[in-house]
Order: sequence, then structure tokens, then C-alpha cells
Amino acid sequence: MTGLAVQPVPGYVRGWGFVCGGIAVLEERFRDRDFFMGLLALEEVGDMIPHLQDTVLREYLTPGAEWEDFTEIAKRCFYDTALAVRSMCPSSGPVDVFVAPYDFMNLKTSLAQNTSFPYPFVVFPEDQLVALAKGELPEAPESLKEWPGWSTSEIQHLAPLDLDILLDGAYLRYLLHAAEGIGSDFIRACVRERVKAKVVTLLWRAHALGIPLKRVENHLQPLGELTGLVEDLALQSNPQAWAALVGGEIGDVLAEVQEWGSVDRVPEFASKVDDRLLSVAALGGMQTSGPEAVFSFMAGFEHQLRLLTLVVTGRLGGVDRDGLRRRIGGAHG
Amino acid sequence: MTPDMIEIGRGLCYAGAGLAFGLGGSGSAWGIATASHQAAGVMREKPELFGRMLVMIALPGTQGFYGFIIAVLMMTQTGLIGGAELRITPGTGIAFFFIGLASGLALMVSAMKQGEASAAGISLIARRPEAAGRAILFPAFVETYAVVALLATILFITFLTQGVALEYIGLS
Repeated sequence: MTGLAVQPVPGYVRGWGFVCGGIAVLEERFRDRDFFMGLLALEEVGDMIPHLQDTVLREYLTPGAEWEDFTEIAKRCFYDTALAVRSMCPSSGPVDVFVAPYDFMNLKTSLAQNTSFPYPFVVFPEDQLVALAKGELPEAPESLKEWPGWSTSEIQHLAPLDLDILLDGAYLRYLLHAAEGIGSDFIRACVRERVKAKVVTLLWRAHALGIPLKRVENHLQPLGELTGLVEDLALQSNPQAWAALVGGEIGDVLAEVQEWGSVDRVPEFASKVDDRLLSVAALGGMQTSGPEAVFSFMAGFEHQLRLLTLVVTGRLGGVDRDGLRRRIGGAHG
Repeated sequence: MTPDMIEIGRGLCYAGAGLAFGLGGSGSAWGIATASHQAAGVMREKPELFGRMLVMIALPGTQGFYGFIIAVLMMTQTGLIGGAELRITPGTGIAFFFIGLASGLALMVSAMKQGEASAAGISLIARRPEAAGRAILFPAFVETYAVVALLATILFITFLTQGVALEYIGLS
């Protein structure tokens, strides 16, 4: 089972039929774990090209495409699809949750007073980010302004590390708000679990780097109903004791990964918890039509592109195939 | 029987026929719209699947026709259409009103749900076009109950207007 208290209700939500018909076709191109293992089994990297025609990247792998541009190709595919799906949705929330990380990269660029934005503008319009880059702080997104230190203009004197944490916190708050706005209990619960997993990853990574957890907590808060959890984790300096505090399925994954040894296990935790969260999100596909189905599609689509990028760029970069197999591990298409 | 009594029966009979036809037609329109939205989304990516989806889109439309058949049958059997004499009592009218309401509701709900089942089948065809033959079974099962409603309504109308009963009350 998923460990999630809220399950999607199979059925039909009016207004979402058109987009759900479209994503049903795109889901046909999702590939399972065996497909990716098959790609890794190929001796020659060039032999992968015909197989990639069966994936979500079908239209993007033209004969003239340079292999070195693969990450760019994947990025273009992600945006083209996400924006097409977003334009068909009655509300953009289920797509925005997945596009937001890139918009926050733009926001980070803006706060560095740079206007060369690396990603398309979806959640935050260009005008807003340009204004922010010129120092017009009132133009900042609401999720950033919710940080208690915002009113004192403390942001202008923040160290780069603190600014990164602050942006992480703003991003997580944005996710919680966006999920709230969609009005689906299932999506709200899924996003809450995602945010919880990100919080644990952030704190654990900070602990591994020797960054005081209180400092992280100060710049990450507030996180709605997860605020208490962040406080508790930051107070407990030993990550071995976190599993009980986190609880639920993420707590179980944390405990399982920590049993493997005392070395830095953050990447393993992040990878394993991503797989679990993907399994949960996949339940949204039970909806014939509705925001849950779109959320589920976007989670699967993002995962497919991540696996494709991992396999192709990994092989191009000469990464050991056994290592890539382990990375794909329990991931499923 | 007084003209007033016949008038009451006649009015109720018309109301029953209207409900059967109106509710059935509304349900069909809703169901077809539901399936069409899904099919339009699929066609955006794969227009070649139109032929396989067409039956699924059209299936929820049958309830509207069933409602029409019921309405016409009610009026022909009671003499409201093409009859030399009206064979309606207030009791028959009340019965026809509720038969029309019940059959109309059955047709409407089955058409709406059939639209959702068709939409699910259309999604299945989009993912696995080779499953089109099996996908059509899901909305077809929903159709069963629309057909049962139609048959039951025909039987009720026939029994209510059969000769023996009408002779007993002096209408035939």
C-alpha cells in the first residue's frame, strides 16, 4: 500500500476530459524499468538512438540532433509538453507544481540581480523577475515574502548559503499553497509528502556538510503544518533519531536507508523516496478525468525524462553501467 | 367518467411522456459531451484513432432515442396520438407519470455514467489502441440497464392499456 491516508477517488471530474484524453496518448510512450535496463545492456551508445524513438522524446530526436545536447533536448521536451498540458487544464495547479523548481531557478537569478534567465517563464512572469532584479523587492513572490525576516529587508545582507535555503523554503511553501489551491485531497497529501521528503533531504544534507541545523531552520520556515516537524528535526542533532519524528512512509524509508551504514546516504534516500512518491502519485491515474490524473501524468513524465537523461548522459559520460543500473534500481516507468 | 377526470389523466400522461423523453435526452447530451471531450483530447495527439472512438462517443446517445420511443408509445397506446378515443383514467395518468419519471431517471443516469465509462474506454484506446474491442464492453454493460428500463416501460405501458383492464372500467 501507499501509506497515504487519502486515496484518489476513481471517477470523472468535468472540465478535465480534454486534457486527460491528450495525456492518455502521451502516457502510451512511458517506458518501464526493463526498457531502461535494455538501453544499458546495449554495447554501443549509438545503438540507443532507434530505441529512444519509442519514448516521450520521439519528436525531439531528429537525425541531426547532437548527442551533446541531450540535456537541452530533454529540457525542451519537458517544457513543450508541460506548457501544452497546462494550456489545456482548467486550472494550472497540477502542472505548476512540477514546473515551479525551474521558475525558482529564475527567481534565484533575479535575486542575484541578473536578467539572463535560464528557464522559460511559467509561474513567475518575466516582468516581475526583471523588476526584482532591479531591486524592487515588493515585486517578490508571496511565498518568499512569508519568510519572517523579509520585512526587515534582511535579504539584502544574506550569505549565499542562507539565500539558497531561503529560496528552498519559498519553493516548498509555494508547493504547499499550489496544492491547496487545486482543491484535491489526494494532491494535497502527495505534495505534503513531497515537501516532507525535501525537508528531510535538506536537513540531512546540511548536517552532512556540518551546517548548523538551526541556521537551516531559521531560513526554511514557516512551512505550514510541517513547521513543527522542521523544529523537531533541527533540535535533534542526530539524524539516526529522525525516522521516528518523521513517521509514515518517509520515516520508514529513512530508517531503512540509515540501516545500510553510517556513510553519507542522502542521495540514496532522495532516490528511494522519489520512487515511493512516484508510486503514490501513480494512483492519480485511476481518475479517468480530473486534476489527479494530470498530477499523476506530470509525475510520471518528469520521472521518465529523468531516467532517460540519467541513462543517456551517463553512458555518454562513460559512467559505469552497473552504477547506472543501481541508480535506476527500483525506479519504474 | 367526466371530461375533467379524462383531462387530468391526459395531462399526467403528457407529463410522464415528457419526463421520459426530456430526462433521457438530457442524459444523452451530457454523456456524449463527456465522451467527446476525452476523445477530442486524444484526437489532438492521435487523429487516426477517430474511427475506433466513434462508437464510444455515440453510445450514450441511445438513451435519448429510448426516451423518445417511450414517449411515443405512451401517447399512441392511450390514444393521445392517432387514436379514435382517449383511453385514460386519472389512475392511468398517475401511473404513466411515474413510469415516465422512473424510466427517464434510469435513462438519464445510465447515459451520464455511460459517458464516463466511454471516456475511460477512450483513454484505454489512447494508451493501447489494440484494446479497442474490449474497451467498448465497459460502456456496453452500462447500456444493459437502459435497455432493461426501456423493456420494463414498454411492458408497463402495454399492461396498463390492455383490453381487459380497460373493459373493466368501461373504456373499451
